[in-house]
Amino acid sequence: MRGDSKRERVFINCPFDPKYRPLFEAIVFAVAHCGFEPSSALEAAGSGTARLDRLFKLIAECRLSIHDLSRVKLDARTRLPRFNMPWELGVCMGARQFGDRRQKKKDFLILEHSPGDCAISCSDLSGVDPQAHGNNTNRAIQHVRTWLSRHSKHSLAGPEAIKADYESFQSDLPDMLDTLRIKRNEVNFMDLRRSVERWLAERSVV
Amino acid sequence: MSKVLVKSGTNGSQVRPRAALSVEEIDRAVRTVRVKNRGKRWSVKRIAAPKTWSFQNFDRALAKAIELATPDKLNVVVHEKRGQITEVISPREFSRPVTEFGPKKIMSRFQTVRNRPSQVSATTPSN
Repeated sequence: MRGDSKRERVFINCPFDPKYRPLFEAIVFAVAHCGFEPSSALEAAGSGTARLDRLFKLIAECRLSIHDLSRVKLDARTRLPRFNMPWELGVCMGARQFGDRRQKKKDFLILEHSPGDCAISCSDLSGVDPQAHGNNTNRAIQHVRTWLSRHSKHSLAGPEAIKADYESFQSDLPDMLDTLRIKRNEVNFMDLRRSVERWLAERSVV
Repeated sequence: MSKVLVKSGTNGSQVRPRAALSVEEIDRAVRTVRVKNRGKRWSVKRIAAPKTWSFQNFDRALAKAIELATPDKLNVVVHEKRGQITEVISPREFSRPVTEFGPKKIMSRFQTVRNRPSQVSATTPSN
């Protein structure tokens, strides 16, 4: 891990449902592996501030952000789509467009499920070049790594090395959780981020 | 200690009655060599290290784990089947003979505690 206190934060705007969990963990791991600090609206949950205020604060503080629009589809029960992710992307884009000099330096990675999905659901995004991951963690890691390599001051490990490390982390995680006496579904964002960071720190000395 | 409900996710489907883990707690889990029962074999692995060793004999597996854990003063954690932890050995205990650890020893200690007269209530019906 490089210079813990100076790591740039990356805001991860993605769904939090259990089915998305593997992709979320892969993205968090890839961001941390590339020397950045993953951030999510979940990290300040329960702090007493309103969810919307937390989001605005996070978006203002993070120059870089990842927006996964792959789950913008109709809910089977309500027949309504979830617009949280596109809405937060819109806030980021608005900040870049109308914000001060710092906000104008914002950069985004937009992820989608299949190529062309965003062009259909949100044609205003045409030209933004979203990356399709097809629900595949390896592809998500590759996109995150490629995008962050443009923003990193250091040379990054290759996508294959990050994928291998991610698999190794996933195989160690059950034993770590056994030691901590917590279940897999009890791991929250802060636990995950700290586990990834400490695991990577340990990895570099092993 | 009062419990605080923390909702994770937007739909509130996961509700946890605990706060986030501290860095110290996570360090305790990461800075570990684990010995795990894999049926007829025992595997030994340092967390975050790429290599895994496999042994037929628990004593040899534990000796290897202690050898790996000694330089960096790591804990050795013994996982029985189904991930249940039977023993956590701190670096201070490494000087004890290997034969003093292990599942059989743990069971014998458990029996000793269970059969202690002061622990058995005369009014409690046994099942």
